[in-house]
Amino acid sequence: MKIEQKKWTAQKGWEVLSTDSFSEVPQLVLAFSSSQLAREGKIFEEIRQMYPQSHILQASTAGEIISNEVNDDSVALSAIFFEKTTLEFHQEAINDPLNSLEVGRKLSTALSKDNLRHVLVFSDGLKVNGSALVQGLIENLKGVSITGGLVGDGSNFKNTYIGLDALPQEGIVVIVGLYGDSLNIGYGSLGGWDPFGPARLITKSDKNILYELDNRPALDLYKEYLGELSSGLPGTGLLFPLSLRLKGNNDSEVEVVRTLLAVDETQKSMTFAGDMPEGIYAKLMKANFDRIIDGASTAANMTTESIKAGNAEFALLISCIGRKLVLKERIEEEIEAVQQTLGSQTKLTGFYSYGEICPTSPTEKQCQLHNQTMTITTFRES
Amino acid sequence: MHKILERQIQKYFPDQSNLPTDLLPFLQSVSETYDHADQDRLLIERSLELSSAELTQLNTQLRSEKNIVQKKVDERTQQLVEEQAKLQASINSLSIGYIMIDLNEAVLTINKAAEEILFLEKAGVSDNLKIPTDRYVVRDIQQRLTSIDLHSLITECITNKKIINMDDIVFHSRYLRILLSPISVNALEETIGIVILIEDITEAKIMQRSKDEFFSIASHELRTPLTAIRSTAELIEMIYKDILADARLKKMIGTIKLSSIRLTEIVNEFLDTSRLEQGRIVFKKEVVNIIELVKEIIAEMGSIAEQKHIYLALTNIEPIIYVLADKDRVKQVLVNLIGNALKFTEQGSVLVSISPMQDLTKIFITDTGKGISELNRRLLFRKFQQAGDDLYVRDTTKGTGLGLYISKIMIEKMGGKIMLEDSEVNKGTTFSCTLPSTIAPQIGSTS
Repeated sequence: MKIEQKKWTAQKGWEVLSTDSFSEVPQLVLAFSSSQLAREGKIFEEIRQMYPQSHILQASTAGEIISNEVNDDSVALSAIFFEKTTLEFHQEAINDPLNSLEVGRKLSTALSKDNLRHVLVFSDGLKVNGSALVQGLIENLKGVSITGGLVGDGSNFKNTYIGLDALPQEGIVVIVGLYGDSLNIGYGSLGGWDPFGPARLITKSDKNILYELDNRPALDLYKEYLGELSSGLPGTGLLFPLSLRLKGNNDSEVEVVRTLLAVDETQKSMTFAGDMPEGIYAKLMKANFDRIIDGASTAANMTTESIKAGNAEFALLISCIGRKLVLKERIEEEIEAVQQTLGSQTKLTGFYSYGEICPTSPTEKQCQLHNQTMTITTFRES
Repeated sequence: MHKILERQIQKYFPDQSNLPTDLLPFLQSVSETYDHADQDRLLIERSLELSSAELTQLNTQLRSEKNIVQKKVDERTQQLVEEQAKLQASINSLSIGYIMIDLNEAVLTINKAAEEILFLEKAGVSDNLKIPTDRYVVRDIQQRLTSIDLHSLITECITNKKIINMDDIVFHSRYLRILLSPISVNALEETIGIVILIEDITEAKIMQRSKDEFFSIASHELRTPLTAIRSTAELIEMIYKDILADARLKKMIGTIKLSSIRLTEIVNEFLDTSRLEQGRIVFKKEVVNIIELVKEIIAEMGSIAEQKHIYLALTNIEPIIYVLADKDRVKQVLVNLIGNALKFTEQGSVLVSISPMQDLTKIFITDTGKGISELNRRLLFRKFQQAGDDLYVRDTTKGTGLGLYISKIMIEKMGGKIMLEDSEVNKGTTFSCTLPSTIAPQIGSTS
């Protein structure tokens, strides 16, 4: 695996951060940028010129991760040449969250299954019900690990963009299939938020739209807790994600975290990044700064469990925007914690997202939609 | 700029005019960090305050609800204690042995009567209802009741969810009636245990047996003098025919003879009953042409019908229908049924029809008599019951009330059934009986 990483800022333009100096054509170019830069054709054209024969996957974010840095209004670019791995790309358009399951099914059906090692998914962050998309994906990909995320739009929650070899657009879901025996994949996902206060019963909801907790408008509860900050909704709602205990396989319970995407003042409803089933108990969560940063390094540790012996060459970090809003100036600490755990040889890139997709533990492949986590996928060719 | 930072700058840099200008963006960034820290602290404090208030409220609510629940639990517990006491007293006062067991065959409840009947004695058993510390198990009871396989019966009762009733279980030269009944919360639920009732029926059996024996002996002893009276009366009629010119004397002798005949018939019925009940009558299995037999009976009873101007006939035209039965007993039953029909019919007809079927042949006796009321129908076929108007006023001139009872036992012993098909007051009655069908007589077995 050979990697070249570049950063673009308005002040300095393109800068090469690191390069393995290779002459081969990289099969994959990942470019994460602000939604404004993604929408403008200039950046895409420049990337196209730099890597005319590569597949370019560009996505808008709520913060770009490259090396040890977290930037806004930048482009984080990683061009990857896989020596022994082949890739397959598919995309689908989506304009209504109700189609999420079907889109997931279509994409996973389209993918060749022979020798499939791993699947990366990049989804629109606002027009998709993440839980349903994941459900659709895993139906045809049993036994294959899937990681990825819902791309972002800063803390605006207005428009998110994805482009595969084209100018990024709204309402796109892209999957990348990675094939080959030599590819080793690691993955890990962890939050670090603490539930607090009483458990509240979801008494009225419709898929990922929450209306009432304990027969009381959920929006009122959030406003009460946010106080003055409630004017910053839905962004400030990320300060209080909800912890849900969902029924898993064999009557076990799986704890998932749900983060707010949008509010509707007239309906007094709140749209979350995943399903909010009625009859399930939810608890408000609060940030615990040290635990959030610990969470990132523990997630990195989890990846080493699944990637087996040997250090990762490349890591894709998909971290929740909620963490960025809470950690503020300390945000890079979580990236540093990951780098420290994985080792300096691992090239990092990634983005702050509206939802993360990853199996719940490094030993299983069944993936889930997560929120408020740091989700890491590591790659190594042997 | 954040207040703390302002104070710190004043403290460490009293002369602010000396501060390099390129330090200002740095200070601004530090100030923002201070602000953010404040915001975070305020948010956490606020949420903890709200959460604490919510939890306090929930705690208060929980305490008050706990008190309500506790009160309800106390009330219900008291009710249950009272109910249990009533139930215990009732069970303990039963003269029938009562044992309740769970699915593991542990005895949950056993009353004094059960212990007495089964001679169970165990240390630590109080005089009250037994829920002893060293509990009985089914094995203890099985050790006593060696004549039955209690474990299999319990399994059967649980599996089939059905009551098992066993009479005449011999136990230490006594007779027991044992009943096993499953305990289910409702019809669909699984069985949670079993109630075993044990009744000592020895006394009742002795009583019944002495009654039967008395009945049998008395009847037997009556027959000899009755036969003597009857034959003497007949002899007088025959030998002193000439002397009996006096019509009154002749009538008296005639009455003695008829009454002795009637009395012999009654005694015979008593004896039949007694023998049938004790299983002392052996039924033959003969191939009987029922058509021929019915014709024979009709010929014999024709005179009674004629006297009452009643049309008595067999409606079948086929010459042969075979049944497998004891011919004499079948005749006895049919004579009884046709006789009853003639007895209770004042005008019209008594018709016999036979419908042969694959397994059983059914014989119908239909009359146009006075019918049987709804109330009386339920009491038919019982011992000493007459199908007359009033069941409580015995009309001995009409019979003993044993006819249908005997007929029922006989038909059943021959593998058939007897029943009241239909009856309407003042319109008529149809009785029927079935007998096993057979194809053709075996050579040499024709009766």
